[in-house]
Amino acid sequence: MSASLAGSDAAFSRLVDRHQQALRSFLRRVSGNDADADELAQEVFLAAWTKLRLLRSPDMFRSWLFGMAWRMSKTFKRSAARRRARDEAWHELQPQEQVPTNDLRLALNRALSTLSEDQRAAVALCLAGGWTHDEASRALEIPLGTVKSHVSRGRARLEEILGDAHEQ
Amino acid sequence: MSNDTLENLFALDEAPAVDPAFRAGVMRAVAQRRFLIELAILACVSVVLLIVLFASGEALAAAAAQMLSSMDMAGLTLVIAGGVAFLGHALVTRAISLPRRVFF
Repeated sequence: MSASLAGSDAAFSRLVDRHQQALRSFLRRVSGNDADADELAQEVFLAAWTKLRLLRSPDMFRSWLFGMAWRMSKTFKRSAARRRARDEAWHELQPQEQVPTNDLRLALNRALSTLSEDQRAAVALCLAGGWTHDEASRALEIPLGTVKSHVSRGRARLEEILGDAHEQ
Repeated sequence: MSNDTLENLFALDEAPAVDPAFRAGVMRAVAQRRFLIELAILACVSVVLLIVLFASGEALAAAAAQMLSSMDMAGLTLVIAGGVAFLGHALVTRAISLPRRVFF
């Protein structure tokens, strides 16, 4: 961390390696689109590199990074939706090919998309990412009680939808 | 549905643990951002230098004329060589360290 602060590219690339899986997974669950999430994750790391000196404590890097990702995802979502509509219109004009899909993964994405934005973020961090409620509360800048309620209701909702899908 | 099943489902949706292509993409973007920042710094420094030179042109010319008249060729060569060495050292050792400075 201190080497990254001193301007070492090698150290920063190690930070990218360490956090990319968790960050991209979080953004994929929040956005529901893998390509958009990966593009945003790259933007988040770039913003982190630029603002690294503003980080008060190196121990807080993970929650600082995810907090920034969460804030950026809110503004990114609007422009991504417009761009995706254009891409989909273009894809409809192209010859179709069979793409193998994972039913369970699709079901999970559909179930997540029924949750509110904040609920999805809390579920993505606490249920999928294994964060504590307190950590999620600090990263998302949402009160602790609200995070607990989002996680509990989000879990119930997911289990209800996925349970129904499983029975069908 | 049990919690384990939910966790298994989330595990299916994880991004790859190691992704050199993603890391390369991030580092390429970082290199581009660094280049733009350095370019902006150089442009600002150049503009400031030009303004200073323009403002103090007459005084500098008078000082140079006075110095030339009182300095022989060897002294002048030493001064120029020192200046070139100083600027070269600053350039090679990247005296401007990034990303310590936050511009955006």
